[in-house]
Amino acid sequence: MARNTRNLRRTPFQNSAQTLKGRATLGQIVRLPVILLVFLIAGAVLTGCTDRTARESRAAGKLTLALPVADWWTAAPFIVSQKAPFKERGLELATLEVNSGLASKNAVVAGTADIGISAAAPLALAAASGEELVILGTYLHSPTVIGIVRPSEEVVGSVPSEPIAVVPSTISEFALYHYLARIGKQHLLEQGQIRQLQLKPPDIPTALRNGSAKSAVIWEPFLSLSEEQPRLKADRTELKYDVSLYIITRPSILANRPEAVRAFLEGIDIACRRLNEKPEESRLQVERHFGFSKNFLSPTWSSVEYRYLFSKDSLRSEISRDAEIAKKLGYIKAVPSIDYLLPQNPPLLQN
Amino acid sequence: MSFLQLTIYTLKCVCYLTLAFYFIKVMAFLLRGHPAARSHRLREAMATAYTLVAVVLISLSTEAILPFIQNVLETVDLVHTPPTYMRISLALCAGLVCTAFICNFSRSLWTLKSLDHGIFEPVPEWADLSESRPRQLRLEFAVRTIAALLFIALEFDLKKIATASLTEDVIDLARGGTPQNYLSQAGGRGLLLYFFLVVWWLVGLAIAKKQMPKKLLWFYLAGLFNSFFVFLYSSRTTNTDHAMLLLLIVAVAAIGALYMILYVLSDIAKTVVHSLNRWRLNQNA
Repeated sequence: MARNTRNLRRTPFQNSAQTLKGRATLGQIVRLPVILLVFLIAGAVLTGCTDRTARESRAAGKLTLALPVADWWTAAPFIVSQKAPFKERGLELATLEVNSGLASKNAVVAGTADIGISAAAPLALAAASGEELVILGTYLHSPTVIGIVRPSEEVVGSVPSEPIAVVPSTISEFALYHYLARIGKQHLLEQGQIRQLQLKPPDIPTALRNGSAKSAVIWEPFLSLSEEQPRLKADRTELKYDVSLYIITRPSILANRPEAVRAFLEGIDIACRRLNEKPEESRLQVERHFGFSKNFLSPTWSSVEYRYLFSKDSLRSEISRDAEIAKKLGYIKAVPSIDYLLPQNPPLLQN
Repeated sequence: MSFLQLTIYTLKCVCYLTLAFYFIKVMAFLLRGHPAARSHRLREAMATAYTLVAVVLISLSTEAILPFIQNVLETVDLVHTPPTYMRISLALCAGLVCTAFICNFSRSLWTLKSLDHGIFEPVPEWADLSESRPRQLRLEFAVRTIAALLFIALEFDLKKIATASLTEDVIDLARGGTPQNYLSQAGGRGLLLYFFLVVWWLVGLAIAKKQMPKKLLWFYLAGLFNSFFVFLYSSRTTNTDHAMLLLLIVAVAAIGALYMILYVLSDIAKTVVHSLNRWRLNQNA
């Protein structure tokens, strides 16, 4: 007993030399993990190298796409095609799930993703900050994916009830300004006279349900999901705010991996075409994916035009529109030049 | 690979390295026995099975690092559009917090296993000291059991964070429900876990007196603060005030996380150095 106590007072490493013969010494026990650890690290390094070599041997390699997966209109081509058009071109497409186009753009700028998908509003802010981005084109256009949710008794053309839930620095806030400007009340937003509740998109239906927000300007599917609540109505035509989605990347990705970028753009072009070939089947597939009831997407599905385009004029006009709004909202001091966001030679020209 | 992608890859490697180290340490204990515990080799099938399950869950939870970073950045966007360098710094801080969280689970595998056998490495006489104080021993056992339960619950939470999709939010809303917030759940459980670990340290102080390592208390307090950070920022109704508070405490949380990671890595480094020394001594002998 005395001997045991004495042994226990020593550190485990001191103890090892005095353990009984025939039993594993503590030194051996500790050594075993170290040896196995060395093997594990070596294995991991070798696996990593092999994997990298295998990836590099493929034509296009791997790209990470920051995709707002909860927005069916954004994700539809990826849901319908299941990434097949990208795989066919040797591109391994990983997805980073984000909540908005702003988050997608930020993920590309920060470097957690290689390719992003964003509307014009975040790009106008990016241009003002001189963020390193390149626009590769657009793949969808719609005038009705964003709308106002407000109490049923409210009159069309009036200021929505406060507090108004918005997603800041996105088309949600910019569309609200656009609407207020149309009804001559933009000064309310410019001078901070409207109470806003700034939320992430999935939180908006819940905020409307529990009464912390009285109205909201939000995009699909949160617009339709909010509308399902009693005493609320959604208006998709009141805003008159056209939305295009832009495919963006960092200039370094475009310069160093043009094949991967080309494969991505060709893939999205094919995905849009396949979706357009079977629109009803595609709609049902997307409805199933999100667990929506049958025909839930019918009111808006046909208003979304999926088509890969690269048109410098339309890019300039839409981003400039949102840059003007950003200036009025006080986000930026001057409307920036967006020419640096446009590549000299677009990787895939419109057919 | 961008700087942030490389950093996230490195943080994942740190998690795997820590997990592999403690996993092997626990398995060596289970399979080969432990002289200081008067051995229990090849008797603990249940503990072996549990360890394997825990390893799978912890390794899956490394996939939570990127969603965690993304969540922090999106929350910050609610209050401010920070410049790129600040965004990268925030991502690094968030990555450290999540990595520290995961690394501590790996370390807990070993701590809980060795305590079950009356071994607490910093206090060599732990078994004798605790047996001589039966009341404190009972309390220590109760607190340790609660911590173990919370530890298991947290592993499942982290797995959910890693495997959950934002699409599920829409599915929940379409069914008339509210989106699940696994991060907030994990933060809440983390708060409870570290609270009980601090209580365990205090009970340990009553048992081992001055021998109880103070560094361990700082480690648990850092974990408590980090859990508070996770819980606070990921609450569903994130608004401007929340986001502002997040900005204020994220740097402090990152310092705590860095301390936790260094604590775990120094544990590994010490073992490696001691093993090499023993090996050299044996070679010389």
